[in-house]
Amino acid sequence: MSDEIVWQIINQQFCAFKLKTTKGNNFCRNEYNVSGFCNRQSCPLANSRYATVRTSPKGTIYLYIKTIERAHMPSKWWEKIKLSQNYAEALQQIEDRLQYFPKFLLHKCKQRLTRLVQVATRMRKLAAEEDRLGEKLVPKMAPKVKHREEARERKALIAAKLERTIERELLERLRQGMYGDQPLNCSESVWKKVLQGLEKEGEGTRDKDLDEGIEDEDEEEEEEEELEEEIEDGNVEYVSDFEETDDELNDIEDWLGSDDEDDAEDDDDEDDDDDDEGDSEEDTKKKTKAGDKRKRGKVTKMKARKKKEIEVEHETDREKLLAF
Amino acid sequence: MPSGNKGKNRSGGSLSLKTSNKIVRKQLYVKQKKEQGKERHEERHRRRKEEAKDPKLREERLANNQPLTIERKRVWDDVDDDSLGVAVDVAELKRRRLEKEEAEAARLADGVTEEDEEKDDDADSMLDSDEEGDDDDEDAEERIERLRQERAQRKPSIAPSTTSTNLDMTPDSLTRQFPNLFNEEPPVDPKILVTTHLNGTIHKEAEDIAAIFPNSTYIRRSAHAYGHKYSVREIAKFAKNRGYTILMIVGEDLKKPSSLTVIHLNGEDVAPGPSLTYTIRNYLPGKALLGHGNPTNHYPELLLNGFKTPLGILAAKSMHTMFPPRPELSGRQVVTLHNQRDYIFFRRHRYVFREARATEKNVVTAEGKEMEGMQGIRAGLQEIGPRFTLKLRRVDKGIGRAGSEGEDALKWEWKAKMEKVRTRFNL
Repeated sequence: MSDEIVWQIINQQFCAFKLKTTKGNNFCRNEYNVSGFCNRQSCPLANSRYATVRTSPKGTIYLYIKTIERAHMPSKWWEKIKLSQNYAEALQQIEDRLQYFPKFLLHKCKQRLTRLVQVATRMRKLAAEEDRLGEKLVPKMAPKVKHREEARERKALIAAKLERTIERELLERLRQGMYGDQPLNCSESVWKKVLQGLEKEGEGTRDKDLDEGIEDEDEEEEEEEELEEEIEDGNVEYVSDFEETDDELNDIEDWLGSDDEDDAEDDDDEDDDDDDEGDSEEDTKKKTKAGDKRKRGKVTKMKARKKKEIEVEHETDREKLLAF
Repeated sequence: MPSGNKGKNRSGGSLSLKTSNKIVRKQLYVKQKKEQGKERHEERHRRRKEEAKDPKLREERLANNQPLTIERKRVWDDVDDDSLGVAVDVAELKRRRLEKEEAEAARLADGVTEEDEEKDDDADSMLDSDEEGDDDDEDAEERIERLRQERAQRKPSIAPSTTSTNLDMTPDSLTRQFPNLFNEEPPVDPKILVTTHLNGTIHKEAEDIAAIFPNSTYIRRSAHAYGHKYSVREIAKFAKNRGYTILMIVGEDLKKPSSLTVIHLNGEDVAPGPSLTYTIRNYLPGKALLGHGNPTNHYPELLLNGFKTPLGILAAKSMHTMFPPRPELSGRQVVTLHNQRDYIFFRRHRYVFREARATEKNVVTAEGKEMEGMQGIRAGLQEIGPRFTLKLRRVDKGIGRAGSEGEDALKWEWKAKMEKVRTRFNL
């Protein structure tokens, strides 16, 4: 009886939950409404016997039942029953509980349960997919930071002087002899010019050992041998040349000295090779590894051993440069 | 108007500002400017004449008036630590440690007693000796500490000149953390797989990026609504099985490449290694460059400049492994990754060593001196292919953020607050 009165008021006068649309539908905003429409059957306020299915924020689905016996205790209107996770069992539970309720409510509750279960399943599937893909959206940079970085990048580019630096590095590498004694990336004329330039600067002696071709080296060795003989014999025949070769003598000694060094290191290396793994070999290995980074491609493998030694010497120089 | 008092009684300011007669003021101002200009001009003229006679004066003047660039003002973290994220010059650190050891050895050789040795050891540990100053042998310790500080403060004389990174300088902690990267002997030929983010549309750019690295393939990411979308971890697993060494993922924003994630897939026994995430800016394809060249498929040379800190060395080593270890010099191509103030500039050039034209000067080393032995030789450069700027943002232990587990899953992350100090850089 009082239901009727309530409904009359709600329908004809005012209901806070009612939402009217232009299409002529009346919706009910009440959270316990089972269908969502504002009807005599669906209104949770105008029916003292009512049932709904809702989810908790965590995702568990509950059946809410309202009975006439508690109509005078509004705070205890809704009886909350947790439904099973199993869909079929949950349906059965609803049937049991709402056995003597109007068919409308039973039907609507089952429909709601179905829909909620479907939604929950879909959400879980999406979450799992997100987790599998492992992609996280990185938030966009704040505009202030973006502008700052843009400006700094511009200035860094100017400070970098890229083309000059690249050119300088390449020429350094050429000068250091990292491209071997017959570099594939350098034309003959330019290479000759480089060698001449280095000789003039006084670094020519060492580089000469490295860079001249095989025939030239033989010639040098022959020359050195001849000169050695000269020195040993002290032939009177070469008196006049002796004065001229005074200057050369220094160079010769340098050559001889470096040759001796190389030979000594060669011998050492051989010894170490014979042994298991000498330290020096590891060092040279390591240095060649660094050398790999720096030299990048000892394509010419002819004088591999000797080059290694000289590589080492070069490396240490450059290392020292870099370290200090 | 600053004050109502115009005219003769105004204090301060030159006559050319004080005069209230506009015409006279104008004339006075012109006169003043002329005089100033004249002073400066005469000064420079005089200096020029003097320096023409004695070039040493010029050198001195230049040496005294070096422009104070940000690189010179660079601020390092003052710790004896070489972990990732500490802005420490690795070369400097090594040198300092060596010198410390030498000092130790020298003192030991001098026959210091064992007690003193222990105290000295404590002093030379990571903690400041100021905190643990013992009363005994204070003089010696103080002296050593002072020396150490002096050495630390002394600017490395060759720092600005050596742009090229020496990868031999890797600190031990780094080799321990990333053994797969740093202990590769012999160096492996890389095999790179390039792909995009899901729903990526920058296929052309990604192909270009793939073409930068020899021995690389680009594969599209499936984004069909009903097709299985492979996650990065799955792709990494497949790539590893097929022998790829590096997986690269190009991210996009508004149809432009905006990020690059490099994931090192290691050999069979080792778990996938560090993944470094960069952001790409100012991407320009080859076509957009004026006078660009076309790349060949020779292995390029690699130039890694300016990586100083442990993090920088990690990035440099990572990029080093992306390219084949033995370049084909006959191709005359060079790839440059130049780090300047944390921005890594990527460039690709074709070069040729040629004789200098009449109008060209000789090449100058970073210190300002002419390069010896290279008079009249220059390297001509022609840029090829894409150019962009990278900035390192993250270093993860495993495959990206999701594929890394453990406490140190995130090795390093860029945070905006790192940029507060203008002179502190991470790489």
